[in-house]
Amino acid sequence: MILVGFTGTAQNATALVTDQNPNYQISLDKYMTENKVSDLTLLQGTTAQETYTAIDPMEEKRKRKALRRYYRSLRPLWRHQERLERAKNPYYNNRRYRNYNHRNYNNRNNRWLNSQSLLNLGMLGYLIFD
Amino acid sequence: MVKQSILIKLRDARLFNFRLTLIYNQNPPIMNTIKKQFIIASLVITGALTLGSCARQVTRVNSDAQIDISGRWNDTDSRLAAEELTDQILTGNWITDFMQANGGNKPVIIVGLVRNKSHEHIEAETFILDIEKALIKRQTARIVSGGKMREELRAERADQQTNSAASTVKKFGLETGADFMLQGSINSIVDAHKKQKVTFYQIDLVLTSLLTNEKVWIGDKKIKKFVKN
Repeated sequence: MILVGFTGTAQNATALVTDQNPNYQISLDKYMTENKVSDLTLLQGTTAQETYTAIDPMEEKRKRKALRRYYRSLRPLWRHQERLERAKNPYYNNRRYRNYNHRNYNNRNNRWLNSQSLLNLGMLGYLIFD
Repeated sequence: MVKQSILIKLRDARLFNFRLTLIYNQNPPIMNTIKKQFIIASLVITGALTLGSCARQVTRVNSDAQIDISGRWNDTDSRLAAEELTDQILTGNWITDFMQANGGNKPVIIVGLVRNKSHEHIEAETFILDIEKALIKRQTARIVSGGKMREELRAERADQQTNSAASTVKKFGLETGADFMLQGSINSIVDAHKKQKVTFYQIDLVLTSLLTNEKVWIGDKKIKKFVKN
């Protein structure tokens, strides 16, 4: 054991150059891991884009405008999809195409005349007590 | 209401037409010339609009010409940075210091990572390559390839081991080790209010010894722009 230890120390001593740290092997082993080396060296000569967003009201306005224009361009597609959905399901309820002239008093979703409304209660009271 | 307005418009149009017919019947030659002029004018306007809408003009300009359109980082900024940093790196004392310490051998440089910490997308390769080119041209330093380019070279060398003639095969393990690594960063400061904007860019390059981690040279280029929309 002593002999082995001595041999190891002797090898290390011969490998070291002037003023070299005797513990250099620890660091070498740490950085010689295959993935670590390739991950770091593959980026050589490139630019890492670590950009930030600057406070610029004009730029923000321009971006908002572009986004608005983009959504506007998508609107016909959305409407088309909506129409397709409506065609698939005849009971599809869409607020935009709801017929407000047609009053369905038996409809439970009626805004004014449902079982929970005060107006309904008032009307009932009027009918009963009048 | 809508129906009524349509009826009124129709009535007005009919009245206008009736008046035109009346004038035409009274002075046919005048009306003919007016008609002709109107047709010519409408044709000219239509032609101008058609040509104007699809008239894209492209002209070749000198690559050194300064053209600022948006106020963002552009080729002129890249060129200015390359010129200034090349001048700084070539006139630095680090070259003579290294050559004196290493028996007249030229320093070997590898380009590392450049971090763009600004608010815009900036590609450092545009000015880094200019610096490399100047160093090679002046024979002041040697540049070794790194990153993906080096991987490609090694892959080619590996391919040669099985496919090339024995006399032309390039051996592994004979690459030149770099003495210094060139790293850098790009920073920016933006000050904008209403339609005015001041943008400040700072490009820093650092040359570090691979043996000692000692920074032997630092170069920088500062660019300030005032943009008024």
